[in-house]
Amino acid sequence: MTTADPAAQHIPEDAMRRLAEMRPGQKTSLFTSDLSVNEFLLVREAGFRPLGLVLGSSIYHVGFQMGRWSKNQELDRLSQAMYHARELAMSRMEAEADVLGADGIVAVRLEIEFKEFGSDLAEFIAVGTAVKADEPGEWRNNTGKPFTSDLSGQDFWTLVQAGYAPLGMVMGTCVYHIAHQRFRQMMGNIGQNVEIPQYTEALYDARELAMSRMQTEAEQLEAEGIVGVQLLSLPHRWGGHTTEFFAIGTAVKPLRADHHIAKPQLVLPLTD
Amino acid sequence: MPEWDGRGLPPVARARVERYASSGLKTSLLTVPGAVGAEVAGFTAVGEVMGCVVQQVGWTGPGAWAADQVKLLSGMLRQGYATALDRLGQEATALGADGVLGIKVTVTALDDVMQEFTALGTAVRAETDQRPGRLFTTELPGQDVGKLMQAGWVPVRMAVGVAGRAHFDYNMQYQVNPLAGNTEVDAPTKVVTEVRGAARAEFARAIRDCGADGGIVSGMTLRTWPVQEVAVAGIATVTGTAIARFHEGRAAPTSALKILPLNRS
Repeated sequence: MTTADPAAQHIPEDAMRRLAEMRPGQKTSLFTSDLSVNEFLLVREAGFRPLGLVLGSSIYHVGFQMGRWSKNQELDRLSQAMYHARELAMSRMEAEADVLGADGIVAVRLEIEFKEFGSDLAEFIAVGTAVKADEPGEWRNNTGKPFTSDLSGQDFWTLVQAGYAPLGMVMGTCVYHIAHQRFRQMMGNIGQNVEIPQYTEALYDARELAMSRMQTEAEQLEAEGIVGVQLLSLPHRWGGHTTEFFAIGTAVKPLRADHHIAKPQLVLPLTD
Repeated sequence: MPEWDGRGLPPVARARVERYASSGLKTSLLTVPGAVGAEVAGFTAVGEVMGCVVQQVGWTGPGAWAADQVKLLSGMLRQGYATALDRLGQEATALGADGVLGIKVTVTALDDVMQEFTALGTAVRAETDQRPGRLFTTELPGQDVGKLMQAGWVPVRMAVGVAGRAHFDYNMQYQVNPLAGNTEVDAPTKVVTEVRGAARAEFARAIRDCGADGGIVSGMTLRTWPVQEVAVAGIATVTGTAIARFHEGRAAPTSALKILPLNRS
């Protein structure tokens, strides 16, 4: 603890004085932020100022598409819907950040919530905190938009410390219909330990499609790599054989040649 | 006991404050880390404080247009938060506190028309000669307050933004039809965008009005419901803490040690 530090003794005193001197309606450069206190302090320390909480939202009616009973296939109309709706939410969030003059958006959460209005209706929402660098620099990406990142404030700090800058969130999605087993095959497999090849293949195909689409997006941003990738299978509301495979991560570019950070100090916490 | 007229604190709350004044018994709702965090920031717990109000939702009649109903509901939500926090503040002031940490506000529906708002927190007093002049309030736990203060930021007050809207759109029934295909649905999108926008604006206004420098959002909720297939209503709430900077210079004078725990998870 730093309470032994003589400067620290003044902290409560100064804080209480600030409160006593507070005048309502003073002109300040007001910010709002969706970050936790840890994240807020680390983002500040990484050299960024939060500007405001930004969000974009779209309530989307997802169309209808039937997969063939016994055929592995992508349901492209549903894939398109998931892409389009997320894009709408993201671009609205980016537009808000642009108005604030942000360099980027950190700690973005991209969520889907099915609504009570109807079974095919979902809200796609993107929320994050727009930030601006203390030092002016080339923070925006090659499309001229503020960078976006779904990394937490902590991960963001570590990334910048290590000499990388986020370029943008990249994603790939694929809604896939997995074939049902044919009756003959099902009967033949009863009671046996066997691989069901078309299931394996379907899951492979769908994940590959989602990941390669994400990689294409990163290539378009001229990224060096993608960090914090999550590969999710989201069943949503389409029944057992139709699933969305969704890959999301943050594309990054190097800020400098070496990428060393101080070796972490080993600590043994007294809690688990 | 005389009947309470709804002004100031209820008689039982006042009695508890008076009992504290004579006995000096200190209570706290802080966790152990929270109490240590508060101590780092230079605060000692004085007592747990509560603000509570039960409200009845007015009735707009069976044929009431959704916009009126939403206005009434959001107004009640706003008032409920304000009253509960005000009563919590009154208790804390009566205890001679400088601020309240770790406030939790819960909203419970007692039945179809009644709602209870409860705000609970721990009143603290700064070990300083300087008094803050006005009670500060925050949702943040003691740990977070400790870290913020070390970095040169002080919590000012808990801020709440509430907004409600309703939209009528005859085309909505075609957009939500199973055969409509992939399409954005205009009316609910407009409602959620507007209510969240208005709630955030009200939150920002609350921060600006107290002269703080910024706000940390700790909760955002949204409730939407359909009104007869052609209209949508929604209510959004944003809660958080207004914070003010007391350090000078560009970089915060934080002295926190950054560690990377090498444990699992």
